[in-house]
Amino acid sequence: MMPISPDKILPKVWAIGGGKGGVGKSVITSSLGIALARKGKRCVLLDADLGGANLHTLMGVPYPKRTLTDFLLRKVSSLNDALMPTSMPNLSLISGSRAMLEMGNLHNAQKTKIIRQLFDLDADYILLDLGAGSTFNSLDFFLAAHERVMVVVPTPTSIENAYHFLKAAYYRQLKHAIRSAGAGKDLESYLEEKVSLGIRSPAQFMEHLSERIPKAAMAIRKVMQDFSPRLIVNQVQNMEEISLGDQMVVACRDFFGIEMGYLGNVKSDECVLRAIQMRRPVLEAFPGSPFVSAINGITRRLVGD
Amino acid sequence: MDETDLQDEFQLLKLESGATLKEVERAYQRMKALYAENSLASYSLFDEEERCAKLVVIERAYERIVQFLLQPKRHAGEEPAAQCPKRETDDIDMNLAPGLYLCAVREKTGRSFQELSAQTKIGRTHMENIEAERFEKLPAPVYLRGFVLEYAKALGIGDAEEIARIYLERFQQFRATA
Repeated sequence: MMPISPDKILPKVWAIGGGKGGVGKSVITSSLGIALARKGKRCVLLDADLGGANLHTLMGVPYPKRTLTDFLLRKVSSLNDALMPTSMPNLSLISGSRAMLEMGNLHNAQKTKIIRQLFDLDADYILLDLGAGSTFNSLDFFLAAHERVMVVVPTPTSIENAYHFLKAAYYRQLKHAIRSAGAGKDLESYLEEKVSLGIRSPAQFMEHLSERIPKAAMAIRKVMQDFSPRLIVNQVQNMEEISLGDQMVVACRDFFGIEMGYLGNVKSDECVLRAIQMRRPVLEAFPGSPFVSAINGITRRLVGD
Repeated sequence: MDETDLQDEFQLLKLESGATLKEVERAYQRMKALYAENSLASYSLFDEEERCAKLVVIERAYERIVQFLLQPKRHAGEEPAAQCPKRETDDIDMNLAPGLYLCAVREKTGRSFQELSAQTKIGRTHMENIEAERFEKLPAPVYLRGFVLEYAKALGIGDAEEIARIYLERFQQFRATA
């Protein structure tokens, strides 16, 4: 057996997703990364949005020399070799740019390879910027992470997509939980029959499970307790929108029976658009902006300070 | 009724044990907003039928908790009204809790049930039930309307007609869901 080196600290992986495109995932991911790097944490941003990677532009690296594609095409042997330094100390980037068109849909083996090597990267924090939609790629990166962060904006389309993403992630996790609880095939078919059984929400499903197979249900419940996503409500403008986060936490408790951790609001801030147009990080261009203080607060909550 | 009998109701409104009327009111408003039609946070998670069912149980839970909090805690030889903490009428929305509003006004005036009963010819039990919104124990709407109207007038409430109307509306709502 290989001895585990005692000073090797495994990086913490944060995934930032949430279904809809254009809600500010990339801006928030890059800003969280910069906030961490400024705290002296070695941080890697991984652009997992292979269909529409643009983290490199936000980070001021217009033509990344090495990308995730090089790793997938085996031009570099390890994910560590695909790291690109950025203009900021402690912060590097694995760009998803120049991905070939078919790479929006990674093969299972490729995805597994990336996820496995993620946890071996030489860093304190790895931040994954997930693509839009509820593809298996996004879901698996999301579920592999230590912290699963959803970004929404206060619009019906964003919330709908976010809930769809959350449902898809929940059921994927639930299937794993059922399998690892050894609850077997009949339970999976039970899961498929849930509509005809009159089960409309995961919370109701767990209740039925506790009655039918109490022992396995306990094991499953335990695994599902770890399914605790976090929430950021971006681009809020008024009091009603400010209360949306708390409301979503309660709605998810009622529907999924899970506790979603609310990380906070980010108010609409024109500095963000201006910084993007300048192709500079907001934290650099407008350090005193409301956006930056919101990001710092969220970073503190995520690190657990 | 004990608070332990109301665990489900407290949980439903996400209330801590020992919550005050004001907290109950606020929690009730929050939950109603969450499950209101077109609520951003819930409409794409719950379908119409579930959403309406949620509103019904929220309404019931709220009513039960308010009833519990308003039930007179009797000790031998003491006037129950004297034990109620003083409530400010400004804090209470007449539209949402007309019974509680009447109770708060009575406390503010400092008048006893005995005195009010003598003036209005309404029995004390009825007055208590009206304040606590114990709808199941209240008389038929035609009598109830008169009671609430008289009671509100006796308490010197300016718009007695309005509070009687609101009260009856809540009573009918309760009838429809019970």
